[in-house]
Amino acid sequence: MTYESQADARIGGSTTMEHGASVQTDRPILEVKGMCKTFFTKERTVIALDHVDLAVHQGEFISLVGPSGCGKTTLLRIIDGLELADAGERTLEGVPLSGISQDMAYVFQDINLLPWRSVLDNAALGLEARGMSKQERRERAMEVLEMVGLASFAGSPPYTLSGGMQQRVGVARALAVRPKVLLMDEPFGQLDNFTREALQIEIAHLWSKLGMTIIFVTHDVDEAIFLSDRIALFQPAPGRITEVVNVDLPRPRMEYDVRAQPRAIELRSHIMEHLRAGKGMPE
Amino acid sequence: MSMKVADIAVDEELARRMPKPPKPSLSQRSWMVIVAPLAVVGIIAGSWAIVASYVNPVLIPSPQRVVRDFGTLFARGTAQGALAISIRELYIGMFIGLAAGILFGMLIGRYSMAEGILGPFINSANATPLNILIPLFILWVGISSKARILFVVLITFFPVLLNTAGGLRNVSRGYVEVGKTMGLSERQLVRKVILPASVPYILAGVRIGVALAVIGMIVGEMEVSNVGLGYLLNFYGQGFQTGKLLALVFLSSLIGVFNVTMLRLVQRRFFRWTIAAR
Repeated sequence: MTYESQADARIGGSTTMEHGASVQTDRPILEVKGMCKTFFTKERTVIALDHVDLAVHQGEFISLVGPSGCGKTTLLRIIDGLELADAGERTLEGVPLSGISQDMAYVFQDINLLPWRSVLDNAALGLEARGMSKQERRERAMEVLEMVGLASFAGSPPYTLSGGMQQRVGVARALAVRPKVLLMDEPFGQLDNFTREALQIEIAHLWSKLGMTIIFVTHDVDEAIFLSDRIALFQPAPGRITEVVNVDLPRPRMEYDVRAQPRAIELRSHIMEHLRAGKGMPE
Repeated sequence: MSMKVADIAVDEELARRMPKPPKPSLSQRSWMVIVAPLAVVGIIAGSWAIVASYVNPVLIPSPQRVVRDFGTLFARGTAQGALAISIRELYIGMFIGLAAGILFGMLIGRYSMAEGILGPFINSANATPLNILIPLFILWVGISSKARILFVVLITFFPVLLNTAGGLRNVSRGYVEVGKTMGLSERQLVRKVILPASVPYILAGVRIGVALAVIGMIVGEMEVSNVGLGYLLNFYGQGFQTGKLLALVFLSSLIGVFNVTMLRLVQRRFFRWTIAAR
């Protein structure tokens, strides 16, 4: 069963997103309650997360936005289980989580492809943990590589690929395990503008076709507006989500210049104002 | 219905029709590979010969002399005899040292408890110049092949051990997190991420160990032997037979060159990804 047909079944037949509609169910797929995390170093103490709550709906694209060092990456890592919170709980589909969840996949900012493995073997990494046969792993890995347009590089070593191509493999690797929730930590931060824009469009495509939930961390407000259904605004030290904005721009957003839309401009200035105010910076 | 994004593979047709980059001509290549190195050797030999004619031949023998002595050593079988002994001791000791160093290095790198217990001993042993142990070896094992092999083992062992252990401990956190988030078990993590990631460090340790092994072999033979290259070097040096001495020095350096070349070949064949590509 291919990834797409599974996605069809999940969303209930339709795979294209209609204008203005976002998929919602009454109970959120992922819930975070009361997350606290403090970092103690010799120089200073940083309250990365101060009783943070977040509810993420099935199939939505939600971004966590804020200036660098405000706790959004920490929250993402805690959600995945890469870091342990000091307090707080997380539930996936109502079930409390502990440790790393097999139903979520993470895309790293510095990509982290294993250099001793080919592109195909990198994409298949998560499948090896799930006890699939070699043949199945190969098929599944080729499937996701085709989704990101890198099927012909399957046998290549990662160092022969450009940064954008490597991050595509990173995304493919995450998709290979068919996660219910995809966690992306500033995935395009290290890439140049052109590549970044191309990959934003690709992610939007993939998301609308496959219908999974995506939590996306970025400090780029335009990127967040382009991609998301909702944007959670973070403020640093102590780290808190101070507002969640609804991005009510019509979809699919690849068809028009989002930045030129009056509503997008409104949202942008509202968000920037909000973020600046929190930092105590002049307007 | 297919999700395929346009594949970004190269258009083969177009690539074939593109103009080829200019290749150096045959005469250019033979100049680079054959003539230029020969010229350099010639210049060095020439200047050497000139200097040697002004200096006491015992201190600086002429290149002709050295070449002649080189030939004599082989004609009389002296060189082959010494080589046979030295090479045997070198490689037996080296491989034992490498194997033990990697094995124990992995244990220490993997299990913090091992490091806690053995750490102090290893650190002090590493800080000790091994030459001072030679009299002790002679007492224990006598002036024998075993003593020299043991010496080579020890001198190879420590750098390999330390680099291997360090490599396992210093595996990039990013790789480990990738493994964890993809759901690898502890065992899988070690096998699929930590061990491969420490290969560059292990190779660095091996490189050092191999170089030290050669030194250890020669020093060991100088002190604890009446046969072998090291012994001969000592013998000719003390006998002021500088021509033969230099010939042997050159021969010994060939062993080092051989080792380095072999290592590089192994690295290219099995660990190509460790070579900095860009």
